[in-house]
Amino acid sequence: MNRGLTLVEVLAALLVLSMGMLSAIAVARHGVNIAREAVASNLAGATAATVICNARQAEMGSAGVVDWQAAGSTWTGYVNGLYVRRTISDAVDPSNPADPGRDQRLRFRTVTVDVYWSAEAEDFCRFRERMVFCDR
Amino acid sequence: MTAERAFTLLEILVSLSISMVLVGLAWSGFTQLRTVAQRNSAAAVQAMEAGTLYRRIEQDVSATVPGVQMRVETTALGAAYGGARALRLIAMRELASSNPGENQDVVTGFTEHPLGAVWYCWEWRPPTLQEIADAAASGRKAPGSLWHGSSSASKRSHDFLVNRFKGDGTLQSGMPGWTTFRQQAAFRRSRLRVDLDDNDLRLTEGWHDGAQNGQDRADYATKPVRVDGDRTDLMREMGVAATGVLSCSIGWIDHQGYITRATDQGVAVSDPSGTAVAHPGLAHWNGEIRIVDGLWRDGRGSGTADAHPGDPRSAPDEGDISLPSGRRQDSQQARPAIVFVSFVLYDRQSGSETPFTFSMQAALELPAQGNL
Repeated sequence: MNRGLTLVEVLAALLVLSMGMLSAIAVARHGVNIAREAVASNLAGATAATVICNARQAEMGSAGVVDWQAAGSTWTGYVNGLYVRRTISDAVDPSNPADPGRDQRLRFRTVTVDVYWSAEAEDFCRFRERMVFCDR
Repeated sequence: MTAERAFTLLEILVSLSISMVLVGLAWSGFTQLRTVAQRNSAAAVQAMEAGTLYRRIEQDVSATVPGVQMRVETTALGAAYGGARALRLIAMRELASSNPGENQDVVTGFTEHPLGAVWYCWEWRPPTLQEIADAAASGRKAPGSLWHGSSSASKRSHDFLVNRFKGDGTLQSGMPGWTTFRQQAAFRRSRLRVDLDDNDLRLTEGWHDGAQNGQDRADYATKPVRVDGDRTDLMREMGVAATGVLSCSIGWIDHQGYITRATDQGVAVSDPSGTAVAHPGLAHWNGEIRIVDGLWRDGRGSGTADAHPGDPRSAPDEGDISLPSGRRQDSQQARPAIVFVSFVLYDRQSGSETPFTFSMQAALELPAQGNL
């Protein structure tokens, strides 16, 4: 018997075809995301090192520089296209001479930098370093 | 009537319309994906380039600090550039000896490799007028380029050390005892200096404060200056580190939080709040160039008086630094604690411009003021 395809058959074939195309797009999009993560990873270390030693408003191009004396001081912003959170721990009261973190002009602080894909994303790397800041 | 029948016109039209919708969706998806992929590809290349530049600059900074004389300068280029300015970051370090195995860091005393870099230079050059015209003809921007050069200590000579001391560091026979201290002190205070007149990088001996001050000044005034390497040598050794750099900014933050920044507009200094400051007595800063001597108290003068009247080059003194009221007049305060570099990378194909900024720790102690 020599008959043509029915509309249902054609629609089913198109459905299968479209699913295949969507799968191909999804795979390609996943590849793009992997490349994006690779880019960010390449910059994450350098950016974290940058932010650890320097959170200046003038250099980072972002408002929100906080006083180093404040306990748990946190600075957030975009640097090199990555969202960065910089946190100071061991903050002490500089007016208290007995404070163990206060050594004359020197302030010992632990600086933690978390790097995120974006402000909404989860962090993908964290750097923590003990730094010495000097009040001259 | 048989069972053989073809599609009706309606069926064909419906199928075609569905197909067109699907193809349209797929085409749109692939087009977006292609755009994103191209953008990501350019961003990946730029990120790789930026990361590489960061590591190279950081390596230079860590290799020459401490004991470093650092300068930033902006220089108006020739007619081919239309008078646009190049900007440079140059740092120099003193090594103890040109003899293999005898080099010692002047600060730590640790033995160093004799071929360790004694100076390095990073330079951003703007595009030429021809490059700008060519790019404009094709509707694109013309980026500048980043250059890098460094030197080694292999050909240096130090008569004071070689003549007075043996290879093991002991005094040669026949040398008076005072010479030991005198020459050692003089040697340890020798450093590369920069002659602002001819831009040579020079090594001079002696000249330090204290009991030997008068003799050192005499040495400084009378002994021949050794030319370690002039600008021609420096430029000859430089090579392209990156192309496609639209703009650049280089500078440092000193120990009191003051910012020295070189751009294609010149060299500016601002206080920790970002307000521009004027240092009328800062002879090493004239709007186009700023120099700080890293190791020695070269800026101990008051700024208005000549702290080194015996120095033939002083006017009032090339090392004097006049700091604003409330700041300690000590050149150590003006030393770089953080070196920073900012640049914008340009992708010629996509036209994307991506800014990057990096900072490198250049001292053990970081300035607290305004930093956190």
